[in-house]
Amino acid sequence: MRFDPKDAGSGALFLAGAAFFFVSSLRNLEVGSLLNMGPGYFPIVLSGLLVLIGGTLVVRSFVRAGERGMSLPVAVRPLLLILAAPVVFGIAVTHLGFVAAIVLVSLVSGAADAGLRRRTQMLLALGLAVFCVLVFRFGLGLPIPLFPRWLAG
Amino acid sequence: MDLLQNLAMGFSIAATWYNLLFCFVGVFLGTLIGVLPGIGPTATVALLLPVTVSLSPETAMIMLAGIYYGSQYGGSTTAILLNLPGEPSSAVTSLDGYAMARQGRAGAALMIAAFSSCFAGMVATAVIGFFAPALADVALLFGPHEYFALMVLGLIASIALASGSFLKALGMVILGLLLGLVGTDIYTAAPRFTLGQLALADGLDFVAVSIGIFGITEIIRNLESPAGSATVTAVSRMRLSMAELRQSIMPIVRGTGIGSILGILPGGGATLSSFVSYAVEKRVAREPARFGKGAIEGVAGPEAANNAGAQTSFIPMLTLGLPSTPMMALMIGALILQGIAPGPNVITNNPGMFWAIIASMCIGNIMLVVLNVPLVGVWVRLLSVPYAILFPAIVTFACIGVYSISLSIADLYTATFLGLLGYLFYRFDCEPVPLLLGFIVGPAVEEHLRRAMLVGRGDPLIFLERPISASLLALAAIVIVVVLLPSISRGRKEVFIENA
Repeated sequence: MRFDPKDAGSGALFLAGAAFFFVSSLRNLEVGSLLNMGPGYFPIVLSGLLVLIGGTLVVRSFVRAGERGMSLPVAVRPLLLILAAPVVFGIAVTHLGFVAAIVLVSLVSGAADAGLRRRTQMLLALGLAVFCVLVFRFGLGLPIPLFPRWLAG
Repeated sequence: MDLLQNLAMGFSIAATWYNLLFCFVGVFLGTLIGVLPGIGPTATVALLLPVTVSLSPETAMIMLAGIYYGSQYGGSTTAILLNLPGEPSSAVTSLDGYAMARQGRAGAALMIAAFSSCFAGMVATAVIGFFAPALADVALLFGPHEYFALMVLGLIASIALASGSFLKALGMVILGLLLGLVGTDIYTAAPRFTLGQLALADGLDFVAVSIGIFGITEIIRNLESPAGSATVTAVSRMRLSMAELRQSIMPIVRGTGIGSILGILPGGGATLSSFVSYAVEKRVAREPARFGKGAIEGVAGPEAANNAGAQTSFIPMLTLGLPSTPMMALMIGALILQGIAPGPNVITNNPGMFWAIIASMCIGNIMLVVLNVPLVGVWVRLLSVPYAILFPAIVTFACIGVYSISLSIADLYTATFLGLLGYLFYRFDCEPVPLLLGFIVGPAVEEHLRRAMLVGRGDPLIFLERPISASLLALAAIVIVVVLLPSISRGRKEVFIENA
């Protein structure tokens, strides 16, 4: 069976989003009436509309099948590494402190581009750490511990 | 006169050394990122939002505004010299600007771009000073019905004017509205869609959402399809002949007019203004065949239009709290971070800030001319900074920025989630902008709807009984019909393809 992946994909995402908001509104929230709308009223209306749009896109994807395909292959490496960066930062900043978090994020995201040499990456990470500590910790006064507590204490 | 008095007050605030410094930082950064093709003004402003928290409201807005119109300048510099429009709004500039540069008239093209932008910036500043307070006075009379109708119209119009599938854009708006509802319901204090997480009780953080969907997604996209480097055209002497100047005067005036009007409309803004201005100039020209081959009118008109449009798009943002472009959505976010509720009261409650922003636009435009004419060579050399060095720094700043807002790790996860979502939607040809617009106005739309229903005793017909809300909703309906008519939607596609 042939279908247009862009219409089908966006339709499926919309349907998934609508399902989440619809189900959790129905389950957890009071809907109320038109006169006195509860917290669930507007989300249910919106997710209903979103189901219509998502459904139309999925149906349309079969009608307009094969008109266009995915243009580029997905580059998995930059996708995963860049998406991981904020998570890495979050974990590192709580356990290892600000400096280590900056170095790690810079290295993780820098690894997304295979072209950069290891040495350049290290230099970049250290430079960024110095710059960010100066700007954010001392310049803007962000209350983030620079080093982990077990090291400082 | 009131206007002059207010402007004088604005200048007295904007001209303090502190505000001048941040105005300069803004236009400097703006020009810089306008020149660098890998990062746009939207992502930059999103990244800088956390920094603005520590500034006073007027200083923060002056700097952010400077980034916006500064990027218009920088974008046109690379469009002319390298055929590489740094920003979408300067895409048309490259058509004739680059042609002029190849004929050895790069200096003239840069001069006229700077001159027309500056002129348009001045006029647009006056337009804001005149119309914004009047519009805010009207808006103060609006009840919840009018507001609801206005927001529906604003959202519909902004997606209708965007390129791409209307259906997908509509889906993105609705998804954005829903994401905007995450958090504690203001009427009943019921937690909504928080997955039981206390960290989500205040809703998804605006900075995390915008950095995720613009910053993170943009970097992944850039890494996937690296931009080819172009050869730099030598800049001839910065000289403009009287004949060229005379040829440009009318296009500049027309472009300024077009930009000033389209900038106010939802979804208009700088990009659309420059496209329309180019089309108009081509139509009124005596020899349309010269266009695309180095016609100076093709640089002067669109450059005036995009700058005027960039500035007048502040009008609906400052007076109605209605974001017409993603940049204005971020500006509203910046206001909220400062504890200022966007809406018609902004001008009355914060007159100093409002008039200081306007005055700073005047100052900033002059700074830009001074900054750009002698520094063109420096900007061009910046293009040789490899993206491989740039992007790890951007990712690091993004992470710190998101975390610094409330030192919450949940915000970082939000950024990752929205980055993934933004990437998937990009692969499926869905524009991320409507999602952000929906996200920012979502809570307001719901609040006005609920209040309107309470006032109207639960009768939805009340929206049609009130003349203003009825006509706004009718306008929204007309926009939908017009967009969905097959012949017109085909024409709309052609307009964008022809110009792209």
